[in-house]
Amino acid sequence: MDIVLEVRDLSFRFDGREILQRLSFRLRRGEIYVVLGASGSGKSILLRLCGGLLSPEKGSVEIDGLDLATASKEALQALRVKMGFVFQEAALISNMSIYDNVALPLRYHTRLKEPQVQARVSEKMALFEVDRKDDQSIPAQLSLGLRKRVALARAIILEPEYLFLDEPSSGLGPEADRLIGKILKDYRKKVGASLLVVSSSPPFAFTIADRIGLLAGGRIAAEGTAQEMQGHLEKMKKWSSSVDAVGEGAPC
Amino acid sequence: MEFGVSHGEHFEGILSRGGLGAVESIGRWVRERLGYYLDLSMLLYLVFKELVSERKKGFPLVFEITLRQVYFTGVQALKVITLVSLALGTIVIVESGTQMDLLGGVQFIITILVLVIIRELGPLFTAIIVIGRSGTAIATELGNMIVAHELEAIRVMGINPIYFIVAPRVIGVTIAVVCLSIYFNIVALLGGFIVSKLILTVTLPVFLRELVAWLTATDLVFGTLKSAIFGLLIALTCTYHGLKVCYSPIEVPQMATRGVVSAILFCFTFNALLTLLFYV
Repeated sequence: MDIVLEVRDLSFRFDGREILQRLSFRLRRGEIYVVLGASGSGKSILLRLCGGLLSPEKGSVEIDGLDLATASKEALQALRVKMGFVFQEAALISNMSIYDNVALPLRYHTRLKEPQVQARVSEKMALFEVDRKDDQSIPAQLSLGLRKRVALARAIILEPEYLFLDEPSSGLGPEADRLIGKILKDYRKKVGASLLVVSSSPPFAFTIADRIGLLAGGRIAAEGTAQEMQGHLEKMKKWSSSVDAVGEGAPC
Repeated sequence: MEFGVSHGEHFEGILSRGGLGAVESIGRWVRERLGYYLDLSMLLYLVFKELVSERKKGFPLVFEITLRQVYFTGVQALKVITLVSLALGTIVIVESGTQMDLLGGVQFIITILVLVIIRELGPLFTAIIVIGRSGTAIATELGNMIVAHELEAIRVMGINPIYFIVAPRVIGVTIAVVCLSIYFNIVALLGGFIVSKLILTVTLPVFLRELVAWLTATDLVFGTLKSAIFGLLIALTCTYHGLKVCYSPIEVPQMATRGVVSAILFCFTFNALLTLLFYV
């Protein structure tokens, strides 16, 4: 069993409150692992910890054996080129057009000529059904749903080995749920990528996941395949109304 | 008044408590200021370090962002600079010229123009205009980028934010301020000449002769160096304060204001120090 991401006894505090408590899980190579949790349960914070954007109070996050907390700047930067990340609010660069947003990783990390960049951007935008007439629009002019799809296109433009996705289909509707689920599964098959998804939508999780981890009380309360997790459906209904909200802000 | 404590002891107690508290506050203030100057110096060091170490990645992109910054800070400020410099040239000539005319020393107004505008007010007024236009814009933009997680998105794409975001703004603003200062001086001199010709009947040959006699290489070098330092200070303080935003939109205007006020104070302080260094 080839482990690409190992989260060990992760603890994190924010504003004096313990958000994650000795949380552990593993992501296998080529697997889609969905962390399912209620709104405010710490899913976004967990994803940021796994992406090396936050440092844990205790515990460790290792990607392909590299401890993110102790990795050198160069090693971390090299790892990030192999990583695609989608934020909950898309986080597109606001003073760039959506075309330039999607092209940015290619233009920065590769020496591809502009026609090649154009071809790759067109391919990825078509995959997520982003209308080319919006190419020169800036993110503020678009709906959240469209911004999300552009963010997804940007995340896979370098065909990374690891994808970290924060609520990739939220706000897009059930049709988009299916489309994005299918695209991500096809992408995993084509590239052999490993995906860590955080979501509050059980239907989306069951569509896409190989394994699901239920985030409750700051830790993975239950874990298993989609079929195995069917038995925890009641728990999933309960946590959506009972888990304390921790707020959307990420600490600096 | 506490029971069992004499007036004298009580008064001494208050003094010692107040005295220690004052010393502690001063010490804390000094430590904070030193930490702030150290942070700014570190940011400046990182800008140049990352420009060298990251230069092979995305250089065309960084170059384009730098040029865009020069355009926004420099080219788009030309109208304002033209108006202010013409006005300043006029004011200097009118105020000094009428007095000099009475004393029979009309040619000395050119000396005053050189001393006042080229050495001091040209770079300083340019800096103030740039702080008002670009300083607030930069601090606000960076603050908003943090609130919207854009800076995190840049980091997670393996893009160095100092190289990609901060360095083009620092370099772009510095270049723009130097060019704007030179333009300011030229227009102020031109405005000054037009007014002096109209009010004081100074002829062009006289104006140019006095200008060449009084304008030294030191003045030109000093003026350019001052502008470059002002540009660096403006960009550094405003990017620094923009980057200090944590996660709330309320912090953005607060940090932008702090950046602007700091930039103004730095420019005036350095102006005085540089003048003392060069001309005393």
